[in-house]
Amino acid sequence: MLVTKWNNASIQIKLTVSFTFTLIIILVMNLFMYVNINSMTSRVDEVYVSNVNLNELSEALQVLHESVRGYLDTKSSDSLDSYYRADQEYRELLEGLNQRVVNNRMKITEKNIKAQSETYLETIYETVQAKRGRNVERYKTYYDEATEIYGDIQNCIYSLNNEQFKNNSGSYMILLSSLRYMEIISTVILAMIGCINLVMVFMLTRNMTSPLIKLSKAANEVAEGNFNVEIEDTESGDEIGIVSRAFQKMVTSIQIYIQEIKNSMERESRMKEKELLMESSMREAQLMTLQAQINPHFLFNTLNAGAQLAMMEGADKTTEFIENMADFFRYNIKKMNQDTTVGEEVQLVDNYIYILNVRFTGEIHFEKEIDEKVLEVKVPSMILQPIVENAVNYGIRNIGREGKIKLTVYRKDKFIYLSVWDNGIGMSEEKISQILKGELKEVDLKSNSNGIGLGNVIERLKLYTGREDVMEIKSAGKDEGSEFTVKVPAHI
Amino acid sequence: MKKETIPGKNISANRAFRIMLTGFIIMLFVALFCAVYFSVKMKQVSEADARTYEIYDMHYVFIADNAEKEFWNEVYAAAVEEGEKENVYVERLGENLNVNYQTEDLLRIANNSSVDGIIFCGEDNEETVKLINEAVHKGIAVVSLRQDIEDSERQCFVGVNSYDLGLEYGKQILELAQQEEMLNPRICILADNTMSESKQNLITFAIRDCFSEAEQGEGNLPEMEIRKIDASDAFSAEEAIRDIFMDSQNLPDIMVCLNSVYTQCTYQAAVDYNRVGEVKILGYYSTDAILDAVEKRIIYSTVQIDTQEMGSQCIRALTEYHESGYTSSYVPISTQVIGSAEAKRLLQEAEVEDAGN
Repeated sequence: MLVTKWNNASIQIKLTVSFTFTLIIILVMNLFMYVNINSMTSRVDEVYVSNVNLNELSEALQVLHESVRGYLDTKSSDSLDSYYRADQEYRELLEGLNQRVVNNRMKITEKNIKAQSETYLETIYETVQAKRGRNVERYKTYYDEATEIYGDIQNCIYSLNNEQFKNNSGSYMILLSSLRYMEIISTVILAMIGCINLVMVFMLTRNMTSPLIKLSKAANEVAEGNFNVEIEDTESGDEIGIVSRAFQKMVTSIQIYIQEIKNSMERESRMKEKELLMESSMREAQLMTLQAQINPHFLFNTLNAGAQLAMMEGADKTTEFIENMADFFRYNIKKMNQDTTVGEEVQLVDNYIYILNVRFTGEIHFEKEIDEKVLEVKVPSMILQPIVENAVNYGIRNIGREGKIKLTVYRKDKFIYLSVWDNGIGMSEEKISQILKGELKEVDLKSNSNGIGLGNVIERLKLYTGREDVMEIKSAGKDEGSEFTVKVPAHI
Repeated sequence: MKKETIPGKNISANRAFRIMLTGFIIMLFVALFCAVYFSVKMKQVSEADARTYEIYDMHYVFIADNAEKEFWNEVYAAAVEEGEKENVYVERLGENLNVNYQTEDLLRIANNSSVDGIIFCGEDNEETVKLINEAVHKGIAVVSLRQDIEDSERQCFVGVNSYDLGLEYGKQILELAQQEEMLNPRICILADNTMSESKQNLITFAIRDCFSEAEQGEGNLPEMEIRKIDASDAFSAEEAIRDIFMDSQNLPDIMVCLNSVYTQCTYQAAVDYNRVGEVKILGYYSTDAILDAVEKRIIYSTVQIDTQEMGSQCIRALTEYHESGYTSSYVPISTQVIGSAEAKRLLQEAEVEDAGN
C-alpha cells in the first residue's frame, strides 16, 4: 500500500519527503541531545548545592553564637534582637536537615547536627535567660556549655561538609565523564545518522537516476541503429517511469514501421528483379530475332514495294500475300518489346497461317474459335505465333494426312486460355515435361522459324504473370496430336 | 524477435523504499539507544542523592577508642549485623568526623544528639561517669563494653570477667612454667593506665590462684609486675614495650599483653631484639598478624575474645532495656585460648575463605 503510493509519487514529492524525513530525524536527534546536555549541565550546577546549604548553616550558627556572645557582652537590645533573628534563621535552616534514623552516614550526621543544635538552642536560651536574670554564674556555665556544643556542631558540620564534598565531587566526576561520553556519543550518532542519511539519499537518487541512465543507454542503442532494446522495470509511477514507458512504446512502434518498410522494400526489389529478368529475356528474344532474320526494316520496306508493284500489275493474290508478309514482319519489329492484345496476337497467327498456306499450298487447315470479349485483354507479345509455329514445324509437318490446327481463345473464371491444338505426331510425357521445365534445347531452329522457341515463351509468361502454371501441354500419344494451352490472368 | 535488455545496476523502487525504511528504523534504534543510555547515566548521577534509604526505629551509637581498630571493627560489624535484625541503626560515632575526638567528647556529642542508646568503651574516669549518668538521666540507655565504668549508672556491662581472663592466662603461665621448668617466673603484665585497680587485682589473683591450685605450683609462685601504659599518649605503648626489652638485665620470663596492640608491639620487639623464645608472650585477641606469630611460636598463645558475641550482646542488652525497662547489668563474653595448632587451622581456614571469595 505504502510502497505503491511511494512508487507512484512524483520525483518532487519523493525528494521532498526524503529530505524532510532526514532533516526531521537530524533535528529531533539534535533537540534530544540538546535537552539531555542541558539537563546535565543544570545538574552540574546543582551538585554543590548541599555544600552551599551546609556553609549557610555553619555561618548562621556562627552569627547566632556571636550574637549571644554580643548580648552577654553588652546586654544591648540590638544584640538581643540580632540573637532572636539569628535564632529564627538558624531554626529555619535546621528544618532542611534530616531527622529520621536512616542507614546513611551523612543523613545520620544531619540528624545528630539537628539534635545537637536543638540542645544548643535550648542552652543558649537558658544562657540568655540567666543573663536577663543577672545570674552570672549560671549564664557563664551555660555559655561554656553552649560554646562546647557549638564547637561540636561546627565540627560535625565541617565533617559533613567534607564528606558531602567528596560525595558531590564523585557525582561531579560522573557528570563530567557523562558529559564527555555524551559529547562523543552525540558526535558518533550525528556521524552515523549523517552516514545513514547519505546512504539513503544516494540510494534514492540512484533509484531515480538509474532508469534515466538505462533510458539514455537505450536511446544510445537506438541512435546506433539497434531497435531491439527493452527497458526493464518501468513500473514506477513517477515522471521517469512515464518517459521510460513512452520510450518503450516509441521503440516498439519504430520497430513495427521498420519491419513494414523492410517488407515493402523486399517486395519492390523482387518486382524489380522480375522486371530485369523479363527485360533480359526480351532482349534475348530480340537478339535471337535479329540473328535469325535479315534486317526486318529493309525486308518490310522491300515487301511493301513488292506489294505496290503487284498491285500496279493487278496481281491481287500476290498483293495480299506480300501485305500479309509485310504485316507479319512489322509486328515482329513493333511488338517485340511491348505488351499487346489477344486480338493482335490472333491477327499475327492469321498472317502466319496465310503465309504458310501460300508457301505450302493450303496444306494447313486452320480453324479458330475466339471469344470476342477477350480480344482486348493485354498479353505479352509473341506468345501465340511461336506455339503455332511449333505446332506446324513439329506437329503436322510430314504427316501423311491432312494437317489441322485449331486456335481457341476463351475465358474461364479469372483467366484467359489460349489453346493451340494440332492433329500431328503428338509427343511423349517425357518430352512434355522437358518442354515445360525448359530443358529441351531448341537446336533445330530452321530458317523458316522466327527464332523464338517455346522455352522463351514459357519463361516470359512466368515472369509476366508471376505464376508457374502458365502453359499446359496435352498429348494423347504418338500421332494423336497435341494441345498447348496458355493461361494468363484476365486482369493483367 | 528477441529483445535486448539494457544492462546496468537495477534497483527497484520497492528495494529503495525498503532501504529507506530500514535506514529510518536503524536511526530510530540509535535514538532509542541514546535515550536509554542518557536516562541510565542520569539515573546513575541522581542515585547519589536520591537514593531511598531504609528507615530504622532506633539510633544507637558505638563509641570506642581508635587503638585496636581491627578488634573494634569486628565488634562494630557484629553490632551492626545484630542491629539490622532489631531494626536499629548503629552509628560508629567519630569515625567520619574530621577532629580526632576523645571518647569523652564523643560521649558528649552522643548525649547532645539525643540518640537512643550508647555503646561505650573508654576510660573509666570521673568525666566519663558524669557523662554516662547525664545520658542515663536524659533517657539514653548506655552499655559499657569490655571495660566497665563501675561508678556510673550504665545499664549494662558487656565484657570479659577479669578473673576469668586472669584464670586463662594463669593456666597458660603454669603450663609454660612447667614446660620450661621455671622457678618463680617473672611475669610482666602490660595493661593500660585506665584499667581499674580492682580489675588488675582480679587478674593477678586469678593467676596466683592457678599456681596455688596446681600441685606443682606450690612454692613456685610467680613474680608479677603490672606495667601500666599511658593510654592517652598515642604511641606510648610501643615505646614502653621497647624500654622493657632494652633493659635486658630485668627482662621478664613471661609477658602478658592485655590488648591486641600490646601483643603486636611485644612480639615485634621480641623479634627486633632477638628475644624470641627467651621471653614468652601471652597475647590478646587474634588478628592475622597475631595468629601468624602464634603459629610460628613467637607468641606462645593468645586469648581470643568472641567479638561476634560481644557486638550482638550490646545490641540485645540495649533493645531489652528499651523494651522492658531493665536488663541484666553484666553479660559475660566467652574467651578461648589459641595455641600454635589452632592458629594454623584458623589461618588455613581464612586462606580457604579468601580463595573462595
